Amino acid sequence: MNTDASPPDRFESLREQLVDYLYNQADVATTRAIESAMAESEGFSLEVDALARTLRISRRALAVASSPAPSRVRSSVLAAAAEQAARMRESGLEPARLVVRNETDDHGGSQGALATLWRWFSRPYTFSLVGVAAVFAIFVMTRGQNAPQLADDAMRSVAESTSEPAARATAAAPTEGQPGTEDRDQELAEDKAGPPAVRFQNEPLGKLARKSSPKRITKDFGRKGDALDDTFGGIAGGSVEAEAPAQAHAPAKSAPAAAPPPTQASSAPVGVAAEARSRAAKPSVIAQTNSEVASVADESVVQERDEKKESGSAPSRAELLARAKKLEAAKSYDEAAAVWAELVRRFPKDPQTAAWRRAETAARKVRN
Amino acid sequence: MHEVRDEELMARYQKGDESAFATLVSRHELRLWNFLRRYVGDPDTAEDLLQEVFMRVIRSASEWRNDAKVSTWMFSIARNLCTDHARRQVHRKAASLDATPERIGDDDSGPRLLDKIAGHEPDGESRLRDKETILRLDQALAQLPQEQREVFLMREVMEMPFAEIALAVGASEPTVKSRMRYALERLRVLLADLNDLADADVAVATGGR
Repeated sequence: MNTDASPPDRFESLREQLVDYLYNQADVATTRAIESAMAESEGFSLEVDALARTLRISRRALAVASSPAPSRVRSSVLAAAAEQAARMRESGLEPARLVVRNETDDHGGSQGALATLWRWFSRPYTFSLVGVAAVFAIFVMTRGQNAPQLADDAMRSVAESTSEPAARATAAAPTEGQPGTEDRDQELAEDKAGPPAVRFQNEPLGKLARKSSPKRITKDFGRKGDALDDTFGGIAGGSVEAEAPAQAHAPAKSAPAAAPPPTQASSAPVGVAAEARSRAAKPSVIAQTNSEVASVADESVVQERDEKKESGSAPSRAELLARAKKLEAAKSYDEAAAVWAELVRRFPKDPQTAAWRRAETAARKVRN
Repeated sequence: MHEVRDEELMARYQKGDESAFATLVSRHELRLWNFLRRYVGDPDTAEDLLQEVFMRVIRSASEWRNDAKVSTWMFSIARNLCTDHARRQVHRKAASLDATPERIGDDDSGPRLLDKIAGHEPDGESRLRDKETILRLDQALAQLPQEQREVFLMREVMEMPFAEIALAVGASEPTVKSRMRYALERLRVLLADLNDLADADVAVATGGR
């Protein structure tokens, strides 16, 4: 029989199988290899024998030391089990539908963590919580994405309310080459004026709207726009008396109007239209004019200014008014209508312009 | 006679049959108790842990699903409790595992484990040998690394197959067998002087290998 001259790792692979051999779980080949090695090496044989003896000693000691569990544990456990059984009877649990809670998961590493997550997410109330959180997140994200769009909308509405009356006035004003316009012609001219807020969509104010909050933009422009609507609505209603409260603000609202659309009416060589275009091209001047005109409460101041602008070879506003009334008194309605039209053309911003237009229309009807 | 499987008993208990759980307790308490007793060394602690094992099973019974072995589940709970207990003992710097063997032999205050053992060995000399063997075994087990001790006790006390042990401890079966081999090799060294006693017992009991 060989001594322990063999290298120590010679039997290492066999040692890996020793447990199977000791518990009679090794296959035939392994069993033969181990027994062959034991026959070949006395040291390995003693080693295997010592392990087997240790196992026998342990088993014997464990068998002798085996003792029944304390009875008080059993009694307390069974009492608790009875209570739990009663609860489960009442709740009517269905075992097959329930989720395992395997205690091995407590120390099961990543698989245990995944199983725990899966159990957690598979519960209905978890889905409810996740659903509520998702809806809230979508709401917040949508709200954030819509802010610029809301700013654009606010700017557009403000621009419409600001520029629409001016466009109406400009488009409705008869040009020198026209013999005169009917009410329907005026409406058509208004339609041709096109969308008055186009400038705000593509030009710097549109960018401003994206950078600014809707609230601030509305704060800057909205109040004036509302006042403009009120003013021109009252005028359109035909009541001269009703115009009075709004007359003081009317020039202020029409002055900063956006540039008139390139319609035939606005392209006519009319001084007011050209002035409006030049003002629209200079936002800072417009703002200055706004503040100036808004501070003017007396209608006569505006009228005098307009008269002053129109001073020169042409007759003044007062002269034209006197002439028109004189012609009407003389029942020269055709000529009176021409004078009214001249007033409308030359003083489109005058609060009386609408009344003059009606007088012009009335004179023409009488003439016809 | 056909014995009702553990899983069937647990399913019955889930429906409110408390007698099914009593059967489960009767079936497993002895092995669980001895495992805990040998693992932690202290009988009082082992008793607390045994009760906790069953209480956890009771609390989680409604969540158990019939695709896991009840015995493996119970033994895993027991093993985890022992692990947690050992961890706490380390943090408290208490030497309960090492002190236990001395208590078995020296402490006269409480009921001794050996006193509870039925006198199946009428021979007084044999009883003394058993006492000595048990004492030495407990001392040796206390010196084993935790992963070796739990594998050894699961296999030798709970009689679990290596595959189930691997499942319970979260390791591969070869790893478990390797731990078992290291445990035996260490016990061989620690219990070397008991070989003569073992030889005598083996000669009497089994007639040799």
